[in-house]
Amino acid sequence: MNHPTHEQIVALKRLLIPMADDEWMMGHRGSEWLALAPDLEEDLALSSTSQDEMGHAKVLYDLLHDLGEPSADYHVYFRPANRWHHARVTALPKSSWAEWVVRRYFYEMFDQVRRSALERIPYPPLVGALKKMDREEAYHADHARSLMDILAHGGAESYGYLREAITDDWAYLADLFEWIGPDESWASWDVGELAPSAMRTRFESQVHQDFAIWGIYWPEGVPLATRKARHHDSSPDLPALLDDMREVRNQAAKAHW
Amino acid sequence: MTEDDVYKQLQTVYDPEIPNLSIVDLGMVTAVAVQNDEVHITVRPTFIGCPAVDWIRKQIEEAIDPSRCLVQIDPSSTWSTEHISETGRRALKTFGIAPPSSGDTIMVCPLCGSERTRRTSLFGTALCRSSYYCENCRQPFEGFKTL
Ligand SMILES: [Zn+2]
Repeated sequence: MNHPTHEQIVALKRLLIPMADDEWMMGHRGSEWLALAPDLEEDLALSSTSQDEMGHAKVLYDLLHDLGEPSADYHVYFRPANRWHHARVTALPKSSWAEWVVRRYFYEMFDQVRRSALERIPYPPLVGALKKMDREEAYHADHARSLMDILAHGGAESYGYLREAITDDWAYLADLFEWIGPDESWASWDVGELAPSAMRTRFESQVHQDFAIWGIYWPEGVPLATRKARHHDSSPDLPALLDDMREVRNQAAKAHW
Repeated sequence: MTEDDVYKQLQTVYDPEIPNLSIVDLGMVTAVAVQNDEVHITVRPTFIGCPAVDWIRKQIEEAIDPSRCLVQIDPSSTWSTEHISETGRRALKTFGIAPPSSGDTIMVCPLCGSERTRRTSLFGTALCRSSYYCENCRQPFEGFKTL
């Protein structure tokens, strides 16, 4: 499928915009922790992971551009808030370090599941890009797990922060598994792994296993979301985030950067 | 200008993060073709988020001749650390960065040659590096990530 049909192009957009936006938001929110992490190693790790995620977002926006979407710059700097399709958890404002560790862990585990589902779509430019990301993301997943491990085994206080952060983020996880179109959009590829329920099951089995190792109580399954989960028509936080993210660019929006 | 001349000239173009490692030894150059008066060079990016790609493109054009050098970045070609040449691996060591290991082999300290090293972080001061500590010379050092 080197030349997707019109229907397939629509389907690819509905799958890739959510992923590109998630990666971008994780990169952006991660970069806000720079110089605030508990130690130097984590500051360095954040600069690499955030740069990786923004790079991955750029690759996906470029793929979307090849499919007829506006440029990466448009998507990041000029797109209105109600056209973003990230999951809310990726864009939550910075709170505690434990919350960031938990958010990263959940996101990386989910992202693995999503990439392996998307890799089954027979569109070579996408598969090639995802396989490259896999190699870099393997470092992210190991790192995210190791930070969870540190908090889980760091004594009663850190374990308490971890538990609290898990409870806070758990309610938001449902949105991750949703796309922005009806399942029929990609029915022609017959990829069962793309179904939100299939991704959720794979995610839950991984996290359940990890929680057992860390002695964390399993809070039952991830809640279900609606097909509107990735629409932000009246999000209170998003306009502020976008203003902040675009502040420098907006000093001279028409300039060539 | 022959293709050999072009390769020789490309040995003067370096990755800005490792200033003694040429883009040829890093394995970024995938094709060179000299046609009539034009020089066509194809390079592949390394780490996806590496911000140096455009800078490197400019350096290539400057090194050859901006008026007749056409650089193509080919994102479909997959770079890996296997593409770093022996010269490249030596250059990394000289610069103080342990070359990428294959599989689970131990990182050798680029400062003293000891194998008594441990990884302190999967990440380092650039996308391509992890952090290590040498128990022998008691120095932190960085190693190239294996991709
Ligand atoms: Zn040493």
